[in-house]
Amino acid sequence: MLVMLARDRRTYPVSLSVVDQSSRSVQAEEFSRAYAAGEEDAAIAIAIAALEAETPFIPPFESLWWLCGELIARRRYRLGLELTEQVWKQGYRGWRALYLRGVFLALSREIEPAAEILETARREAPEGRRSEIALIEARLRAMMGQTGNALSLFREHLKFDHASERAVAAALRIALREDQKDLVIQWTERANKALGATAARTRLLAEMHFENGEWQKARATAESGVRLDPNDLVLGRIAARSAYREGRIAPAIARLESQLALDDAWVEGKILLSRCLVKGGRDKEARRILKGIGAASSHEEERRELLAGLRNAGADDVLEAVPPGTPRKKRGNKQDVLQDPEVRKIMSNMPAEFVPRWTPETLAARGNPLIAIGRLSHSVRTLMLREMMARFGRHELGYLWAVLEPMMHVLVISLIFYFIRARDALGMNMVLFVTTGVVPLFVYLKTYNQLTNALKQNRPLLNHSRVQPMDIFFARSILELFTHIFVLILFVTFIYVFVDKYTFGNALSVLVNLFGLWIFGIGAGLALGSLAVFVESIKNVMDGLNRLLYITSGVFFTLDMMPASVAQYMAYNPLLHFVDGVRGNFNPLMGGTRVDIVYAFSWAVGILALGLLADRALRSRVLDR
Amino acid sequence: MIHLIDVEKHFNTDVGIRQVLRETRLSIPTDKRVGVLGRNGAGKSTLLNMVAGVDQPSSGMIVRENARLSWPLGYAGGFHGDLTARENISFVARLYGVDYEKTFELTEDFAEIGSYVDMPVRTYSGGMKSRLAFGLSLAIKFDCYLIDETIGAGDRFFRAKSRQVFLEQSKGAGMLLVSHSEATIREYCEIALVLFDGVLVPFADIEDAIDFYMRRCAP
Repeated sequence: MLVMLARDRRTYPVSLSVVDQSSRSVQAEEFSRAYAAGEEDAAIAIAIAALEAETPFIPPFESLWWLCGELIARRRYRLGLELTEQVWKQGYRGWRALYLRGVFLALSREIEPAAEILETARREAPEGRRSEIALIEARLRAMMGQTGNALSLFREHLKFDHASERAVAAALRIALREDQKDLVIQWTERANKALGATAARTRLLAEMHFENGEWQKARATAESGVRLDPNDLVLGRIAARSAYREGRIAPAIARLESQLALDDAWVEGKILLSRCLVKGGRDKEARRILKGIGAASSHEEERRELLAGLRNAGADDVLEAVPPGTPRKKRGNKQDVLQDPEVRKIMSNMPAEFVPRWTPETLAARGNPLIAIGRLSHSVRTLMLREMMARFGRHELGYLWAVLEPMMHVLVISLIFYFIRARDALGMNMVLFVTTGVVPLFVYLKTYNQLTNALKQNRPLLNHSRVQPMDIFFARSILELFTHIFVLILFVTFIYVFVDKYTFGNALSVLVNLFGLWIFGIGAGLALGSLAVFVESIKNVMDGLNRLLYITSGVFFTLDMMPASVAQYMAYNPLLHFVDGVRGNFNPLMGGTRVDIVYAFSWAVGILALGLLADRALRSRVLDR
Repeated sequence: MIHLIDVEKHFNTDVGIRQVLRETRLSIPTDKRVGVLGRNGAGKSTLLNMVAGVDQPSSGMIVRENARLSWPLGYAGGFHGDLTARENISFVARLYGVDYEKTFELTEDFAEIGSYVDMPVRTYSGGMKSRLAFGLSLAIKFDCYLIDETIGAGDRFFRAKSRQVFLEQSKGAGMLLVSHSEATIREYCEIALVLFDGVLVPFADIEDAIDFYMRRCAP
């Protein structure tokens, strides 16, 4: 614009009198002569040579616009800057000089000073010239990031009937950046009217309408844009998209198809088209289109969803007669992965690394009893050591607690017997009587307790592949058995030495009975621990039952002490037989005529079998948490 | 070699049966670095737990053949809280039949727990516990390391160190690494399985596996 204006030398006649004649140099003289004679090329050459030599050079003012225009046309921006600076120094600071200086500063990328100077120029310029300066300033302001400032300048000064395309484009860019949709729409419409519609502006307008959700306007605009430039695919896409959004299926399908005929790479359009086709009941065509889309597109998710919806849609080749608009039945899109063609292909041709490699020998090796027992015993020993260490370290009492607990029971019960003066009725030493009741029963109770929660508590240990669930059961139960055999030996020896010299029966008989109590405890612990996956509270029931067993299993009496009518029922309790069996070895008179060791052992083995079965059946569920 | 012989796994939950692994029949080499890719909740950790022996298959069986498998790298849950670090290390050393003194020295050297070695493990901070566990995993030589998501323990500095030491140590050893991150799998593994809707899909090439994962496992 400036170039255009400056070339017309009659536009800005400026009186020479402004300039001090004496300061004019030789070059300036030559220049003005050439200029006056109309030898423009010669004049320019003189001016450039003078400016490049950095000699003082003040051209006559009426030639200033023309000269600047020529310098701009030749891209000699630095020289222009030099020139305007000399004019500035010369003392001419009217709006024209400011304007030119601002333009050259801007062209030399001195954006900020340029904007400042142009602002001054704009304020001093006459009314009719302001908007032209303001438009340049606005673009500079926008470059500096002062979009708000720039936008208000554009608002005020952008006159569409004689604005340049570049100014309009800059203004639209800024309005877009400021998200002033209405302003963008207004400006594009006015610009199209004043300057003639262009495809780019129409596209912008259509996009704005589309974003505002005005599908009809968007479509009409886009279609007019397509008429301007039939090769503009984006305009076509906007038109087709708006047609889809308008919601009338038949026109939408027609528009999408015509767009896709030109624009085969438009995946979104294909998806939209197949959606329309599905809505119109034309599943088969929809499937064909969806199948034609490559799997790597960014619309893969939608594609799969649509295809999954279509998969169960009846026989492939029968067109379902569903009138458009009727709601379709929702279909399940859950499909079997194993039926998936890709997965099937991979699975049927497994990479060599993963091909099953076990042989009958591999599996048979697991059955080798020597290896199995070797592993088991190593693991059980290690676990027992760990458990013992833990008990020693747990609190100040440490392992002493294993001795103290039954001792307290023995002392308290003995004291009760003492105070109710029942000691004479027992027929043997009172403390020995209680000891031989409490400690055997502890074998059962403690073993049970340790096994019910064994897996749950020791689950983390199974992370060591050398530790198997059975090892934990063995370790815990064996530790309990040994501990209580030790406690029993300790107590009865103490009693023999310090309290009462009794006659001892058979150690093997004691061990056999303790063993019975032990496997009873293991069986009950395993069974209850496993069955708790069904009903957690079954453990509480069993705890109550155990308290009952504590009273009825021979700690306080023997079978023989009971009247026959009661003993008959008491004898159903298998634990009572074991306890009586142990006690019989510490006093021949307590042998117990009613003890039935076979009955008791049958129970113990039965319970153990139940426990093992329950554990095997439910172990995976116990470990599932 | 870890053989999955017709292994199937489901959980009975309050909202019905949740299938984690459909009947699977394959062998996982223990001398290779194997990755298992899967989305969150796909059952990767359950698979790893089954291989370690914590979880049991609902049916079928898992046979570990001729392989010294580690416990999940850096897993600290196996420590007995009432035992000191020293005692816990002695238990593990005895269990795997390795020299206690040497194991203890290596672990202590790595884990930087100082005077705490004679305190019960329950008094440790989480970071100390995992450093101890990681150090112990490194002190014992395994044929195949089981790894759940991450290599390394503790803060970022220790993590970097532990990762470096681990990679040094595990040269030539196999690993079974489960992760949801394709970047991790790409970095450490040679071959991979993708756990896709309860099916372990095998791949001899990592990039194929990642491609499959990105395409098919996306929601």
